[in-house]
Amino acid sequence: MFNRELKKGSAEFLILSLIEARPRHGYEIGKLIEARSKGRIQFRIGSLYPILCRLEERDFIAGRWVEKAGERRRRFYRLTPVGRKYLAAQRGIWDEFVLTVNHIVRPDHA
Amino acid sequence: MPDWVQYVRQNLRLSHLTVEREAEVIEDLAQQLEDAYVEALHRGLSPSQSEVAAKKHITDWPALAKQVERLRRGSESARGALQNRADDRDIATHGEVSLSSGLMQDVRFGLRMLGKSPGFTAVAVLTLALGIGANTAVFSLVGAVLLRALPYHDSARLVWVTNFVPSKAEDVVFQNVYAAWRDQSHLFEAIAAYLPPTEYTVMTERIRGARVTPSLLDVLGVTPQLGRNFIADEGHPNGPKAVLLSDALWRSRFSADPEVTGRVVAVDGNAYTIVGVLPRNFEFLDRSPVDLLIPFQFADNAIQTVDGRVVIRIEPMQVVARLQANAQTSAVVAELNQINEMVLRNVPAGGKQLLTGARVEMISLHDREVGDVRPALLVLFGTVGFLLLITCANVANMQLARAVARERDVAIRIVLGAGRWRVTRLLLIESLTVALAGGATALLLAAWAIRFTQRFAPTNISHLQSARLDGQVLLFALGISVLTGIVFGLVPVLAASRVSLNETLKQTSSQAGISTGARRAQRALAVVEIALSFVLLVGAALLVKSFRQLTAIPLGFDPHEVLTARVALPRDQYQSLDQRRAFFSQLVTQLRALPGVASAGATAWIPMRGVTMFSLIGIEGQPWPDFSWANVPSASVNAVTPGYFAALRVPLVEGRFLDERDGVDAPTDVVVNQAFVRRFLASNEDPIGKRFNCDVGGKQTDGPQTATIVGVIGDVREERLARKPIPEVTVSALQWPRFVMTLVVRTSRDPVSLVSAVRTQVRSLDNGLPIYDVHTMEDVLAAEVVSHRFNAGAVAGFAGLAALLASIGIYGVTAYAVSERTHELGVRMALGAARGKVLRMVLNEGLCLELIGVGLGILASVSLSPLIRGLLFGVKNSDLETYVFVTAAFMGVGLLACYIPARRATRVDPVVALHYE
Repeated sequence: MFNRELKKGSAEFLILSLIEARPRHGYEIGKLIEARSKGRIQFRIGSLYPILCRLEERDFIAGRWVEKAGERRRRFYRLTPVGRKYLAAQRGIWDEFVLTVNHIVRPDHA
Repeated sequence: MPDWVQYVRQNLRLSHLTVEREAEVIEDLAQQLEDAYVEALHRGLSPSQSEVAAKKHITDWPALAKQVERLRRGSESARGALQNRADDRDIATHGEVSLSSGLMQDVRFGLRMLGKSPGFTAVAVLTLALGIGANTAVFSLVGAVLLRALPYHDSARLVWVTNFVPSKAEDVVFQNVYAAWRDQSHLFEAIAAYLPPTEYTVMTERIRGARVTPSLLDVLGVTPQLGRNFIADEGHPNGPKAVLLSDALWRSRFSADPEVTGRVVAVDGNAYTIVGVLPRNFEFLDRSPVDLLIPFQFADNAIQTVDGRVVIRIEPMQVVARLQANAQTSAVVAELNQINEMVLRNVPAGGKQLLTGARVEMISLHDREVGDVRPALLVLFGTVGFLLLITCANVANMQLARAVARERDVAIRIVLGAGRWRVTRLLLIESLTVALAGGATALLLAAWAIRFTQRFAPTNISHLQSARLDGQVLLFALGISVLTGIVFGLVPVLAASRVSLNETLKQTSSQAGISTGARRAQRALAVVEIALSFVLLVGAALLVKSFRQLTAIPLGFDPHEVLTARVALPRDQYQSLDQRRAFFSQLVTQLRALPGVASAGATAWIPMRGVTMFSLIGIEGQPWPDFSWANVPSASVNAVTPGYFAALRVPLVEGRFLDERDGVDAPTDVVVNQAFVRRFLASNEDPIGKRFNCDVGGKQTDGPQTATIVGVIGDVREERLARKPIPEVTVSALQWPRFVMTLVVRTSRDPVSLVSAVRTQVRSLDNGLPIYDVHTMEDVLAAEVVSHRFNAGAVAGFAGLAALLASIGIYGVTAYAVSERTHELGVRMALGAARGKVLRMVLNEGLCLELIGVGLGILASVSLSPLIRGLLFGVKNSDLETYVFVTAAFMGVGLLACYIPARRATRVDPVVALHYE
């Protein structure tokens, strides 16, 4: 639906937002993006996983193995304090960006 | 369901990651694929359709691998990672490789693993360094002192022989006995006697020398480097006066003159001919430094009857001998006992009792030389041995706590194909690496400890100064390092070999706890640590108490602010009594006039430095007893100038002190101590005015005099602190001025500040006369207790260290148990358990270990403490007070060590605890 570049540019932002409230495991994050975008944004495991790794590498998120009864353990990712700050900053930038872009593409709304 | 792990592993080609990271990536991806697969099934797809759907999630495997690997986390620097990779692969795929080929790899791997947990490594290395360092240092000292061969030819055949009189607990060998042994025994190759070293005036200097029979050097197998040994003639009474010089004296005073033999020197005013120079490495017996050997001249018979009275002039001597090659100790002792009987038969009546009850005792010279320091050193060795065990236990405990992380590590390795032996080897190599690093650090500590000991240990330990880190010591350090590494490394290895792969891999890191077996091991180790350090603390407490007892002994004088210094008058210039009397009374008068001097006097000897003059005592009106060695009516004799008692603040019990009235023309009035009164007079007798015969010198001739008691003074510890005061007679030095006397000056300021003033006063009377042996009285006392201080200090230091380690051990165990039970404790508190109850629960567990440890410690102490009985003074090795004190102290410290984590447990917020996985 959206082009590849747009998806790629916003993936980090989406992931960080989704784990802000609580830690989630990798597949869950992909499914949530799909569900909340009503299927318009989809990530395959193969594309999402390297982004998770990169975020972890930059200390924005931290992975931890968690086991639930009767299931194999999963790696849950949670937001680190650094990630939380980064997310807040990104949100501000995003809001301003949207506002600015709207200002330009839909002048009547302004 | 498809095996997604297998699927990912087949497709994802990673080559730059550590094994752990690789496993993590594979597991994470496999789980996500499985989630996708399961979800597809839920959507109603068939298993094969679901599998296809899941597999669609990852199509470009090489790109994914590249992206994952580009990230630094989990990989290391490029080169390190490659190496890492190679090692891991090797271990994982080949499993068992030959010991030699894989060894370096394993060592490198071990080093890397340790580098990853620098905290653990540093603490473990330091802990081990303490244990190994202490052992290395003590081994080096013990080796230098106990294991070293004596510096004499074939020293194994050298023995020290004596007659021991049990009733008097004294060794008695005198001329008659020595001569009989020398002439009649067939089992000695050579035998020699000597007197303990003393000071001689050589020219104007005081030099330590010893009188020895001419046979001594033959017995020891020593040949002079220059000149000759003594000849038999020089050992006879009034024989030629010969002298042997030490290498040091020859070099310092005779400029190493090769023509020195034949020169004549004045020794105590008599002309002696230098006959030779001793070898450079010559060491005299009994650890005494000696610069001069003089022939010991004596007649073979010390007991004569003069005018119907037995006159005994015995020289109590020490005897060393070289055994025949095949002589048995028991045969020699039997033979000498027989010879003793014959000696006894020939002794005139009245002296019969001299040897009664005496029995021959013979020990190797080596044992004699190191005998009295052996128990102290062995106790020290035992102490550091215990310390090493405790450090091992502590490090093993730390290893166990680390086992959480390690178990997964181990499990992954095994899953990846490494054999258990290979893993075991890796873990062992890792702990050996730690141990060797500890050993290397220990050498630094040991080198420092040896220097420290050589500086502060008692000076009477022979060869202590030769202790150093030589090859033997290094080998020992290496040996115990390896042993230590194996001992503390074995615990986690045993735990690792029981790893259950499934359980471990399934555990989350927060959940993972150490296995029950490992936990039990951890507790057992803590109990052992407590027991061991308890034993050490009991030993230390006993030694400290004994030291305090020793220093609490009433001295009989006040040692503070007193300066002592010796003056030796040259015999040829001060031959007459009047000269000496004039010199010392003038000197004392001048000293008293110095500013800052409260009182001053001179004495033949000062307390603690040993008594050298004794006399038989015959109280007027009492029959002369037929005495035995067990009960010789004798007293020590001292000569002091007026002012001496005041300077030392010796209390007067009754009568008066000696003063100017007791001059040369006055009757022989003497002062005796309370021990004298107890020994010789009945309790209802008034000692003042009592007269007795004694062998004090003075007036114009030496010889028996009749003395009158004019005063009684308090008992002074004259010989050793630990020895009870003996009867003592003090004569006025005005009547009996000695050549060598010690000045005793009480000051109103720092005594040391008066040294130069005292020296000036001596010079003003005789320019060129030095003072020597300058000490404060407090220093003299300190020297007396130094060995006790050292024993107590060393053992207490090590025991303190041990107790600290044990406390850390029990703290670690309790803290770990608490962190494991956070969840459970939270639930309890959420359900309404009072904080106090939770606190008690946690405390109970720790204290239980503590109690078991202390119980074992008490048992061990009771059975081990007799070993240090010989080092104790005034305290029994089963001293109840000490045990109670140590137990209380231990429980107190243990309580604290448990309380800190227990308190943390009660602070747990139930909500947090319940979230805590």
